[in-house]
Amino acid sequence: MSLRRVISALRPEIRTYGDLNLAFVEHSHVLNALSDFHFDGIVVKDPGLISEIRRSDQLYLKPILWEEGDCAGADGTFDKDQPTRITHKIQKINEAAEQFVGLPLPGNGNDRLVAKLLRLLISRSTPLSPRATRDRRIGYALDMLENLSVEQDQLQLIKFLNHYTDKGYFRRKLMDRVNLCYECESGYLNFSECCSSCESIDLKSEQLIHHFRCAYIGPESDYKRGEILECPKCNHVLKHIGIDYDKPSEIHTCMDCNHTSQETAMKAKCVDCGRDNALDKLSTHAIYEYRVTESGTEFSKSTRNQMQPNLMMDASDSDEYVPFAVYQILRSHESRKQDLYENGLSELRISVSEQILGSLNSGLRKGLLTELAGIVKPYLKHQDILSINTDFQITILLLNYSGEAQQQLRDMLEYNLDKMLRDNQWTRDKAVEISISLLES
Amino acid sequence: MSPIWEYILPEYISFWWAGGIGKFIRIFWYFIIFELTRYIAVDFLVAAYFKLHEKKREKAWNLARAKLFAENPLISIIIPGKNEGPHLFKLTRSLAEQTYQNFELIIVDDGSDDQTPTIGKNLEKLGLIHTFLRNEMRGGKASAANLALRYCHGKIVVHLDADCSFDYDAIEQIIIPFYMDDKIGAVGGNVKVRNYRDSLAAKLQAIEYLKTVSVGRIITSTLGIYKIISGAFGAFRMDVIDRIGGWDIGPGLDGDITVKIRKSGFKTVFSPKAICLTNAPSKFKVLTKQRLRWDKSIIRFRVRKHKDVYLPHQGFSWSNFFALFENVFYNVVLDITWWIYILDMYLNYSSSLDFIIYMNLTLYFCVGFVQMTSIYIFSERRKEELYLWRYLPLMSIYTGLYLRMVRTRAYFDELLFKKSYDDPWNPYKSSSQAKLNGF
Repeated sequence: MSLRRVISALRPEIRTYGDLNLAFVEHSHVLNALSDFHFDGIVVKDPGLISEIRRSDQLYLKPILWEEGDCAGADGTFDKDQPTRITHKIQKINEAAEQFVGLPLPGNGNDRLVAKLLRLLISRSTPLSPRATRDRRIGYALDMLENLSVEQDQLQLIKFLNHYTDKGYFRRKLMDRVNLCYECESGYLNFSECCSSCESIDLKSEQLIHHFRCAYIGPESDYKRGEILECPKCNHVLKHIGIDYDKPSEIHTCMDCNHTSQETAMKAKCVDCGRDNALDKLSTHAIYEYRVTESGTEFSKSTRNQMQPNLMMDASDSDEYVPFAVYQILRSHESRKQDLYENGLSELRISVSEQILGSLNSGLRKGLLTELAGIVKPYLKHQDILSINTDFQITILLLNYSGEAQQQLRDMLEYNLDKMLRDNQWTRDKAVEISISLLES
Repeated sequence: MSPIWEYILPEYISFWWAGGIGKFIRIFWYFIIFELTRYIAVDFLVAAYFKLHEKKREKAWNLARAKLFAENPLISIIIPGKNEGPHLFKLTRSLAEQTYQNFELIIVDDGSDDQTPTIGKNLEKLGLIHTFLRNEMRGGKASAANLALRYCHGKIVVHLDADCSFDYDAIEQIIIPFYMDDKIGAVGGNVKVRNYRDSLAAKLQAIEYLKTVSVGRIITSTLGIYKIISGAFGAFRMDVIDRIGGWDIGPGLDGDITVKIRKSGFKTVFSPKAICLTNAPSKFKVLTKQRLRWDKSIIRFRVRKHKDVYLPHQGFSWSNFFALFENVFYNVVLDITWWIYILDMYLNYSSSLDFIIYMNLTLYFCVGFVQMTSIYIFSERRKEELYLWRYLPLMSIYTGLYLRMVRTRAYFDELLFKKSYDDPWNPYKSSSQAKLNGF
């Protein structure tokens, strides 16, 4: 390569199109030299250059044009035949970006990043919209933020955005929810119906047929005799649906384990890691569009540092308990006939301290609740109903406990649960609160 | 001195004294011929026989129990029903306490319109129910039971009602008889009233159940003419019930299936220690509806559908003949005879009706106490049941008048109008087909 070509490769090429001065950049090492030139926008060929420009504290607000077609993260496309078509847009961006000229960025990493993002969005008068794409693990890209940030994990970026939304810098609008693999958090899942007993996908589904005349009911294959339907119990030929027979439901038989059920399970196989996920174990995340608020605008012009974002904990259910919806039905049923119980009905609630629950992720929280159930259960009568409510309180419907028996139970549980939590060094303070209330019919 | 002691009582005694034994028998012929023989003489004879063979029976029972636990067969417990969801959790807890644990639990929801599907599916997910099946369209109890039967894997099928609860050894007690005799095709459980403290109706039914179910069925079972296995708690050999095609359209399907099993050559027996508690209707209005349905089914099944039992044919069996004859005679025939008796009294003794009614009440009252004594002999819950003794005087009005009226109305409706086919207990689509085909 000649010296002349090397020197030209190190210098940006500035071209003028009417009122528009555009810098054409082919290599990243040219970026450092750009600050010596006056230009309105940057035209790039290599998409990798976009993130380099955005991460630069000097250039990140400059309009970026992509030379060939559409490119995520660029402000527009450079049209060789009509280069001035984009002039208005570039001027508008530059005018809006003027307000940030000379304003320093906050020193703290996260605040610095959010300030840059806010300024970028304000100067473009645009929200940060998620873009559906197969190129990202979760199926959505947050182009502007991804270009600004070193962090490329979308879930971390979403957490980051949600944190600043909570602080009031963004107003968000729900666009979608994604379900991700529990293991690798990939959104590339293959959903299939499977046997609720052995999880095999080899299921045979059949309609049930009810023969009115003799009350026989069984799958369609029981009735099939060639082309006709003949009742295996009374040998009558079924001719007319609605008169002779009906099909009240469907049934699935597993061809592997022979389990029969009307409830098939669904599982999601992760294409990336191969794990079979139960649907209720999938990790669900909301995908939002973020718009800058007034507080956000104000912050974008300030240089103050803010606190680091905290991890948000998810609630999760435990299999050890009767689901709370079912518990509520059973409680109302028992309440209606509580006259049958000499001592009536009461409800015992165990609240684990916020300090403990708040320090656990969903998996550990579930483990803790399961362990607590193991301690609680032996003290209950077999007919008592155990559940967990939406506030993460263990809720137990006590049937026919005298006042003395309630007090004994309460004391025993309080002692044992507290001991268990202290033995595990969860806390030095009081670990559980137990309350008992009488239910009225 | 009150006029009762001064005039009425001496006049009452002198009336019966003057008439002598001949007049007494002439007036109370109905009571002496039918009630006294069947409910006192036969009961006490069989009770004596039962007690005499207690040791032998206990030996055979223990042997059968050992056989059962050595084999440990899978039992299928099936519970068909509509809107039974709220009872299911408790039922699973009650079954978890059973001494016999090798069972699968199959619940069939017959088109419920409450939260039953939600509860059932959740309990299935939690592993408390093995199979939960739902018919989106209601098909009636028989079809729901047959659906459960289709997916049973057990050697013995136990049919339960969802609102029942059971003694801790009830399942064991109901399946042991199958290991005593290969010819036993079905076993009935002992159904008692749980809510007997709720209302007068429930109290009277509790006494009635003790007489007709607990003791009455020991008697018929000992005599080999046991003819109704309660839907609330009954066990069936899988091969036998499969051979007869399961349940046919009701109402009264529990009595019907018992007759079908007997007709197929198998014995049906009662297991008095297999205790199941159920809630009886606590209002007379609901009770009346229930009894009208039950009584209509006697005509529909025992008189019409299974009339071949009374006629000579290749598979004729005297025990089946007597089982159904006893049932039809003591219900239908005696009901008609009772009205003849009333007419007889009205026409021939209208001037002495005061004395006759009082004496009748006295006789039935005494018989009631004697019967309660036989119940006391058989019962395993003597202490609890002592509570019911004080309501015995009302039983003569309850069984002698109220139930008789209901029965008469039911027989009349069924014999003349086949009203059982209009009962909303079954969906119209099934009832109309049953009526069309004469089932």
